[in-house]
Amino acid sequence: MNVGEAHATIATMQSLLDHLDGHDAVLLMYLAGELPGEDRSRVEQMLGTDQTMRARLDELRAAHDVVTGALARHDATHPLTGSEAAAVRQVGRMVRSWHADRAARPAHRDLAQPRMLRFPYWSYPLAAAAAVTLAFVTWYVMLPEPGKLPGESNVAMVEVNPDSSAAESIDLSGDAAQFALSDSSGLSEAETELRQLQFIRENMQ
Amino acid sequence: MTLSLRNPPPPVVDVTVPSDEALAARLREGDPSAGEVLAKRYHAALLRYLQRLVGSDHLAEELLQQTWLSVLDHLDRFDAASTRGGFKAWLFRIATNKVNDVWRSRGRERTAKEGLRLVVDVEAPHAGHRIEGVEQVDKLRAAIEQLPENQRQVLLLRYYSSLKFVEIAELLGCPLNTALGRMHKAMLKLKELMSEP
Repeated sequence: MNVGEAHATIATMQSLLDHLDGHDAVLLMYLAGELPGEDRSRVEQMLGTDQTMRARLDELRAAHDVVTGALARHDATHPLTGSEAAAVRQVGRMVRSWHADRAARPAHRDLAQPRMLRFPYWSYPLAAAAAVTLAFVTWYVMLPEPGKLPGESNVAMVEVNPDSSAAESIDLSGDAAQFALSDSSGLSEAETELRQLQFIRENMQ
Repeated sequence: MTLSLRNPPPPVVDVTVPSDEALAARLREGDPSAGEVLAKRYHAALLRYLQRLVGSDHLAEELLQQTWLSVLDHLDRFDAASTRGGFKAWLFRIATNKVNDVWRSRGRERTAKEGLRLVVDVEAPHAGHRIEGVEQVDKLRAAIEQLPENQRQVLLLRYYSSLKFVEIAELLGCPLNTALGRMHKAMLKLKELMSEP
Protein backbone atom coordinates (compact mmCIF):
# COMPACT_ATOMS: atom_id res chain seq x y z
CA MET A 1 0.00 0.00 0.00
CA ASN A 2 1.43 3.38 -0.97
CA VAL A 3 1.03 6.66 0.91
CA GLY A 4 -1.92 7.75 -1.22
CA GLU A 5 -3.77 4.53 -0.57
CA ALA A 6 -3.03 4.81 3.12
CA HIS A 7 -4.48 8.31 3.11
CA ALA A 8 -7.57 7.04 1.37
CA THR A 9 -7.90 4.29 3.94
CA ILE A 10 -7.60 6.80 6.76
CA ALA A 11 -10.15 9.06 5.11
CA THR A 12 -12.76 6.34 5.03
CA MET A 13 -12.27 5.52 8.68
CA GLN A 14 -14.66 6.79 11.23
CA SER A 15 -14.03 8.11 14.76
CA LEU A 16 -10.81 9.90 15.77
CA LEU A 17 -8.83 9.02 12.65
CA ASP A 18 -11.34 11.01 10.63
CA HIS A 19 -10.31 14.17 12.42
CA LEU A 20 -6.55 13.81 12.19
CA ASP A 21 -4.60 15.56 9.46
CA GLY A 22 -2.13 13.24 7.77
CA HIS A 23 0.16 10.44 8.80
CA ASP A 24 2.25 12.36 11.30
CA ALA A 25 -0.71 13.23 13.50
CA VAL A 26 -2.01 9.65 13.30
CA LEU A 27 1.38 8.20 14.14
CA LEU A 28 1.90 10.60 17.02
CA MET A 29 -1.45 9.63 18.50
CA TYR A 30 -0.62 5.99 17.88
CA LEU A 31 2.72 6.26 19.66
CA ALA A 32 1.07 8.11 22.53
CA GLY A 33 -1.46 5.31 22.91
CA GLU A 34 -4.33 7.74 22.56
CA LEU A 35 -6.16 6.05 19.71
CA PRO A 36 -9.27 4.02 20.45
CA GLY A 37 -8.88 0.25 20.08
CA GLU A 38 -10.44 -0.02 16.64
CA ASP A 39 -8.42 2.87 15.21
CA ARG A 40 -5.30 1.43 16.69
CA SER A 41 -5.75 -1.92 15.06
CA ARG A 42 -6.44 -0.22 11.71
CA VAL A 43 -3.23 1.76 11.98
CA GLU A 44 -1.34 -1.43 12.82
CA GLN A 45 -2.86 -3.03 9.78
CA MET A 46 -1.62 -0.15 7.62
CA LEU A 47 1.81 -0.29 9.21
CA GLY A 48 1.99 -3.96 8.27
CA THR A 49 1.59 -3.15 4.58
CA ASP A 50 2.92 0.40 4.17
CA GLN A 51 6.69 0.66 4.34
CA THR A 52 6.73 4.45 4.07
CA MET A 53 4.44 4.77 7.02
CA ARG A 54 6.56 2.34 9.02
CA ALA A 55 9.67 4.34 8.20
CA ARG A 56 8.01 7.51 9.43
CA LEU A 57 6.97 5.78 12.60
CA ASP A 58 10.56 4.68 13.20
CA GLU A 59 11.81 8.20 12.57
CA LEU A 60 9.28 9.61 15.00
CA ARG A 61 10.15 7.03 17.63
CA ALA A 62 13.86 7.78 17.25
CA ALA A 63 13.23 11.51 17.63
CA HIS A 64 11.14 10.84 20.70
CA ASP A 65 13.87 8.69 22.25
CA VAL A 66 16.53 11.34 21.66
CA VAL A 67 14.40 14.13 23.13
CA THR A 68 13.05 12.29 26.14
CA GLY A 69 16.46 10.76 26.85
CA ALA A 70 18.09 14.19 26.79
CA LEU A 71 15.41 15.69 29.01
CA ALA A 72 15.71 12.84 31.49
CA ARG A 73 19.51 13.14 31.62
CA HIS A 74 19.25 16.88 32.03
CA ASP A 75 16.81 16.56 34.93
CA ALA A 76 18.91 13.87 36.56
CA THR A 77 22.09 15.92 36.45
CA HIS A 78 20.47 19.22 37.42
CA PRO A 79 18.81 18.97 40.81
CA LEU A 80 15.92 21.31 41.38
CA THR A 81 16.84 24.68 42.75
CA GLY A 82 15.39 25.50 46.12
CA SER A 83 14.00 23.10 48.61
CA GLU A 84 10.80 21.26 47.89
CA ALA A 85 9.91 21.29 51.57
CA ALA A 86 10.29 25.07 51.74
CA ALA A 87 8.13 25.52 48.64
CA VAL A 88 5.45 23.25 50.07
CA ARG A 89 5.46 25.11 53.40
CA GLN A 90 5.13 28.36 51.51
CA VAL A 91 2.02 27.10 49.74
CA GLY A 92 0.64 26.11 53.16
CA ARG A 93 1.22 29.65 54.42
CA MET A 94 -0.42 31.09 51.30
CA VAL A 95 -3.49 28.92 51.89
CA ARG A 96 -3.78 30.06 55.53
CA SER A 97 -3.42 33.70 54.58
CA TRP A 98 -5.86 33.33 51.68
CA HIS A 99 -8.41 31.61 53.89
CA ALA A 100 -8.08 34.27 56.60
CA ASP A 101 -8.58 37.03 54.01
CA ARG A 102 -11.61 35.29 52.62
CA ALA A 103 -13.13 34.85 56.07
CA ALA A 104 -12.56 38.55 56.81
CA ARG A 105 -14.36 39.67 53.65
CA PRO A 106 -18.12 40.25 53.90
CA ALA A 107 -20.08 37.24 52.86
CA HIS A 108 -21.52 37.24 49.38
CA ARG A 109 -25.18 38.16 49.18
CA ASP A 110 -27.38 35.13 49.17
CA LEU A 111 -29.10 35.14 45.82
CA ALA A 112 -32.02 33.19 47.23
CA GLN A 113 -32.92 36.05 49.54
CA PRO A 114 -35.10 38.85 48.16
CA ARG A 115 -33.23 42.04 47.50
CA MET A 116 -34.02 45.02 49.77
CA LEU A 117 -35.55 47.89 47.76
CA ARG A 118 -34.77 51.52 48.47
CA PHE A 119 -38.27 52.74 47.45
CA PRO A 120 -41.67 51.04 47.62
CA TYR A 121 -42.10 48.48 44.87
CA TRP A 122 -44.99 50.41 43.18
CA SER A 123 -42.91 53.55 42.75
CA TYR A 124 -40.72 52.00 40.02
CA PRO A 125 -43.43 51.44 37.37
CA LEU A 126 -44.96 54.81 38.30
CA ALA A 127 -41.64 56.55 37.72
CA ALA A 128 -41.23 54.75 34.39
CA ALA A 129 -44.73 55.84 33.26
CA ALA A 130 -44.02 59.45 34.30
CA ALA A 131 -40.77 59.42 32.32
CA VAL A 132 -42.54 58.14 29.20
CA THR A 133 -45.30 60.79 29.55
CA LEU A 134 -42.74 63.55 29.99
CA ALA A 135 -40.85 62.39 26.93
CA PHE A 136 -44.06 62.38 24.85
CA VAL A 137 -45.09 65.87 26.00
CA THR A 138 -41.61 67.23 25.23
CA TRP A 139 -41.73 65.69 21.78
CA TYR A 140 -45.22 67.09 21.12
CA VAL A 141 -44.23 70.62 22.17
CA MET A 142 -41.17 70.54 19.97
CA LEU A 143 -43.17 69.58 16.86
CA PRO A 144 -42.91 72.30 14.14
CA GLU A 145 -46.00 74.38 13.33
CA PRO A 146 -47.95 73.28 10.24
CA GLY A 147 -46.44 74.73 7.08
CA LYS A 148 -43.01 75.21 8.60
CA LEU A 149 -39.99 73.07 8.32
CA PRO A 150 -38.57 71.63 11.54
CA GLY A 151 -36.13 74.11 13.06
CA GLU A 152 -37.49 77.04 11.01
CA SER A 153 -37.85 80.09 13.22
CA ASN A 154 -39.61 83.41 12.98
CA VAL A 155 -36.30 85.17 12.61
CA ALA A 156 -35.11 85.34 9.03
CA MET A 157 -32.37 86.91 7.03
CA VAL A 158 -33.87 88.28 3.85
CA GLU A 159 -31.70 89.52 1.09
CA VAL A 160 -33.27 92.59 -0.54
CA ASN A 161 -32.03 94.27 -3.62
CA PRO A 162 -34.05 97.52 -3.92
CA ASP A 163 -32.22 99.11 -6.84
CA SER A 164 -30.44 96.04 -8.14
CA SER A 165 -27.17 97.92 -7.84
CA ALA A 166 -25.96 96.43 -4.56
CA ALA A 167 -26.97 93.58 -2.33
CA GLU A 168 -28.00 94.45 1.14
CA SER A 169 -28.95 92.17 3.94
CA ILE A 170 -31.66 93.17 6.31
CA ASP A 171 -32.27 91.57 9.63
CA LEU A 172 -35.93 90.96 10.17
CA SER A 173 -35.55 89.95 13.73
CA GLY A 174 -37.05 93.21 14.95
CA ASP A 175 -40.04 94.88 13.34
CA ALA A 176 -40.40 92.48 10.47
CA ALA A 177 -40.70 89.60 12.84
CA GLN A 178 -43.40 91.44 14.72
CA PHE A 179 -45.12 92.05 11.43
CA ALA A 180 -44.93 88.44 10.48
CA LEU A 181 -46.42 87.35 13.76
CA SER A 182 -49.22 89.91 13.91
CA ASP A 183 -50.34 90.23 10.33
CA SER A 184 -49.77 86.99 8.55
CA SER A 185 -52.92 85.23 9.80
CA GLY A 186 -55.55 84.52 7.19
CA LEU A 187 -53.35 85.44 4.20
CA SER A 188 -51.94 83.26 1.52
CA GLU A 189 -48.20 82.73 1.46
CA ALA A 190 -47.72 84.99 -1.59
CA GLU A 191 -49.73 87.78 -0.01
CA THR A 192 -47.79 87.52 3.20
CA GLU A 193 -44.50 87.68 1.35
CA LEU A 194 -45.65 90.70 -0.67
CA ARG A 195 -46.77 92.54 2.44
CA GLN A 196 -43.47 91.72 4.13
CA LEU A 197 -41.52 93.21 1.23
CA GLN A 198 -43.67 96.34 1.25
CA PHE A 199 -43.13 96.70 4.96
CA ILE A 200 -39.40 96.39 4.46
CA ARG A 201 -39.34 99.01 1.73
CA GLU A 202 -41.26 101.41 3.96
CA ASN A 203 -38.81 100.83 6.78
CA MET A 204 -35.85 101.42 4.48
CA GLN A 205 -37.27 104.70 3.25
CA MET B 1 7.04 12.92 34.79
CA THR B 2 6.84 10.35 32.11
CA LEU B 3 9.78 9.34 30.00
CA SER B 4 7.62 7.83 27.35
CA LEU B 5 5.52 9.30 24.65
CA ARG B 6 3.00 6.65 25.47
CA ASN B 7 0.66 7.52 28.29
CA PRO B 8 1.19 5.55 31.48
CA PRO B 9 -1.48 2.98 32.26
CA PRO B 10 -4.38 4.33 34.30
CA PRO B 11 -3.33 4.44 37.95
CA VAL B 12 -4.75 1.89 40.31
CA VAL B 13 -7.19 3.76 42.51
CA ASP B 14 -5.82 3.87 46.00
CA VAL B 15 -8.43 4.89 48.50
CA THR B 16 -5.77 6.13 50.90
CA VAL B 17 -4.43 8.63 48.33
CA PRO B 18 -6.90 11.44 47.81
CA SER B 19 -7.48 12.58 44.24
CA ASP B 20 -6.47 16.05 43.08
CA GLU B 21 -10.10 17.04 42.85
CA ALA B 22 -10.82 15.90 46.41
CA LEU B 23 -7.81 17.86 47.62
CA ALA B 24 -8.95 20.90 45.66
CA ALA B 25 -12.33 20.69 47.36
CA ARG B 26 -10.64 20.54 50.77
CA LEU B 27 -8.40 23.41 49.76
CA ARG B 28 -11.47 25.47 48.89
CA GLU B 29 -12.64 24.93 52.44
CA GLY B 30 -9.33 26.37 53.63
CA ASP B 31 -7.46 23.20 54.55
CA PRO B 32 -3.75 24.13 54.32
CA SER B 33 -2.65 20.49 54.40
CA ALA B 34 -4.60 19.82 51.18
CA GLY B 35 -2.69 22.67 49.53
CA GLU B 36 0.59 21.26 50.80
CA VAL B 37 -0.17 17.80 49.42
CA LEU B 38 -1.01 19.28 46.01
CA ALA B 39 2.07 21.49 46.07
CA LYS B 40 4.26 18.51 46.91
CA ARG B 41 2.59 16.37 44.26
CA TYR B 42 3.28 18.84 41.46
CA HIS B 43 6.35 20.67 42.72
CA ALA B 44 9.00 18.96 40.59
CA ALA B 45 6.95 18.67 37.39
CA LEU B 46 5.71 22.23 37.54
CA LEU B 47 9.05 23.76 38.43
CA ARG B 48 10.89 21.81 35.73
CA TYR B 49 8.24 22.78 33.20
CA LEU B 50 8.58 26.44 34.10
CA GLN B 51 12.39 26.28 34.11
CA ARG B 52 12.51 24.75 30.64
CA LEU B 53 10.01 27.23 29.28
CA VAL B 54 11.51 30.45 30.62
CA GLY B 55 15.13 29.31 30.76
CA SER B 56 15.75 30.77 34.20
CA ASP B 57 15.65 28.97 37.55
CA HIS B 58 15.02 32.13 39.51
CA LEU B 59 12.16 33.29 37.31
CA ALA B 60 10.68 29.80 37.31
CA GLU B 61 10.52 29.80 41.13
CA GLU B 62 8.82 33.17 41.07
CA LEU B 63 6.31 31.96 38.49
CA LEU B 64 5.65 28.87 40.56
CA GLN B 65 4.62 31.05 43.49
CA GLN B 66 2.47 33.20 41.24
CA THR B 67 0.84 30.07 39.87
CA TRP B 68 -0.19 28.89 43.33
CA LEU B 69 -1.47 32.34 44.21
CA SER B 70 -3.61 32.31 41.07
CA VAL B 71 -4.82 28.83 41.91
CA LEU B 72 -6.10 30.13 45.24
CA ASP B 73 -7.59 33.24 43.69
CA HIS B 74 -9.56 31.28 41.11
CA LEU B 75 -10.26 28.13 43.07
CA ASP B 76 -13.92 29.01 43.50
CA ARG B 77 -14.31 28.96 39.72
CA PHE B 78 -12.60 25.60 39.21
CA ASP B 79 -15.08 22.97 38.16
CA ALA B 80 -13.55 19.52 37.99
CA ALA B 81 -16.50 18.12 36.04
CA SER B 82 -16.18 20.58 33.18
CA THR B 83 -12.39 20.78 32.99
CA ARG B 84 -10.87 18.15 30.72
CA GLY B 85 -7.80 16.79 32.43
CA GLY B 86 -9.04 17.83 35.87
CA PHE B 87 -7.05 19.80 38.39
CA LYS B 88 -3.70 18.96 36.80
CA ALA B 89 -4.68 20.44 33.43
CA TRP B 90 -6.08 23.50 35.17
CA LEU B 91 -2.90 23.95 37.20
CA PHE B 92 -0.67 23.68 34.12
CA ARG B 93 -2.93 26.05 32.24
CA ILE B 94 -2.43 28.68 34.93
CA ALA B 95 1.33 28.13 34.87
CA THR B 96 1.33 28.38 31.06
CA ASN B 97 -0.58 31.65 31.24
CA LYS B 98 2.02 33.01 33.64
CA VAL B 99 4.76 32.11 31.19
CA ASN B 100 2.82 33.71 28.34
CA ASP B 101 2.69 36.93 30.37
CA VAL B 102 6.49 36.81 30.74
CA TRP B 103 6.96 36.18 27.03
CA ARG B 104 4.68 39.06 26.15
CA SER B 105 6.65 41.44 28.36
CA ARG B 106 9.93 40.06 26.98
CA GLY B 107 8.64 40.66 23.48
CA ARG B 108 8.01 44.29 24.33
CA GLU B 109 11.50 44.56 25.85
CA ARG B 110 13.06 42.92 22.81
CA THR B 111 11.29 45.33 20.50
CA ALA B 112 12.53 48.26 22.56
CA LYS B 113 16.09 46.90 22.58
CA GLU B 114 16.06 46.32 18.85
CA GLY B 115 14.99 49.90 18.38
CA LEU B 116 17.83 51.06 20.63
CA ARG B 117 20.33 48.94 18.72
CA LEU B 118 19.32 50.58 15.49
CA VAL B 119 19.93 53.98 17.07
CA VAL B 120 23.39 53.27 18.49
CA ASP B 121 24.32 50.92 15.64
CA VAL B 122 25.96 48.38 17.88
CA GLU B 123 25.95 44.89 16.48
CA ALA B 124 25.54 42.33 19.22
CA PRO B 125 27.40 39.08 18.71
CA HIS B 126 25.22 36.79 16.66
CA ALA B 127 23.65 34.15 18.88
CA GLY B 128 23.72 31.77 15.97
CA HIS B 129 21.90 28.58 15.45
CA ARG B 130 24.86 26.34 15.94
CA ILE B 131 25.48 24.81 19.28
CA GLU B 132 29.14 24.12 19.39
CA GLY B 133 31.50 23.45 22.22
CA VAL B 134 28.82 22.91 24.76
CA GLU B 135 28.12 19.77 26.65
CA GLN B 136 25.27 17.51 25.72
CA VAL B 137 23.15 18.63 28.64
CA ASP B 138 23.59 22.31 27.96
CA LYS B 139 23.05 21.56 24.33
CA LEU B 140 19.54 20.48 25.17
CA ARG B 141 18.81 23.71 26.97
CA ALA B 142 20.10 25.71 24.02
CA ALA B 143 18.17 23.55 21.58
CA ILE B 144 14.93 23.98 23.52
CA GLU B 145 15.46 27.71 23.55
CA GLN B 146 15.68 27.69 19.78
CA LEU B 147 12.23 26.18 19.42
CA PRO B 148 9.35 28.52 18.75
CA GLU B 149 7.41 29.20 21.95
CA ASN B 150 4.27 27.34 20.89
CA GLN B 151 6.24 24.18 19.99
CA ARG B 152 8.18 24.37 23.24
CA GLN B 153 4.95 24.57 25.20
CA VAL B 154 3.40 21.47 23.64
CA LEU B 155 6.58 19.42 23.96
CA LEU B 156 7.20 20.33 27.58
CA LEU B 157 3.58 20.06 28.59
CA ARG B 158 3.50 16.59 27.15
CA TYR B 159 6.70 15.60 28.88
CA TYR B 160 6.21 17.15 32.30
CA SER B 161 2.45 17.02 32.78
CA SER B 162 1.79 13.73 30.94
CA LEU B 163 -1.53 15.15 29.82
CA LYS B 164 -3.12 13.65 26.74
CA PHE B 165 -2.78 15.53 23.46
CA VAL B 166 -6.51 16.22 23.48
CA GLU B 167 -6.16 17.79 26.93
CA ILE B 168 -3.09 19.76 25.89
CA ALA B 169 -4.93 21.12 22.86
CA GLU B 170 -7.80 22.23 25.06
CA LEU B 171 -5.43 23.70 27.62
CA LEU B 172 -3.72 25.77 24.94
CA GLY B 173 -6.97 26.63 23.20
CA CYS B 174 -5.96 25.19 19.83
CA PRO B 175 -7.24 22.34 17.62
CA LEU B 176 -5.87 18.85 18.25
CA ASN B 177 -4.18 18.78 14.83
CA THR B 178 -2.37 22.02 15.62
CA ALA B 179 -1.07 20.63 18.90
CA LEU B 180 0.06 17.43 17.17
CA GLY B 181 1.72 19.41 14.38
CA ARG B 182 3.66 21.50 16.89
CA MET B 183 4.74 18.40 18.79
CA HIS B 184 5.91 16.71 15.62
CA LYS B 185 7.92 19.73 14.48
CA ALA B 186 9.40 20.23 17.94
CA MET B 187 10.61 16.64 18.18
CA LEU B 188 12.18 16.58 14.75
CA LYS B 189 13.84 19.95 15.27
CA LEU B 190 15.22 18.96 18.67
CA LYS B 191 16.53 15.70 17.32
CA GLU B 192 18.24 17.56 14.51
CA LEU B 193 19.78 20.10 16.88
CA MET B 194 20.87 17.43 19.33
CA SER B 195 22.50 15.42 16.54
CA GLU B 196 24.65 18.33 15.43
CA PRO B 197 28.33 17.84 16.29
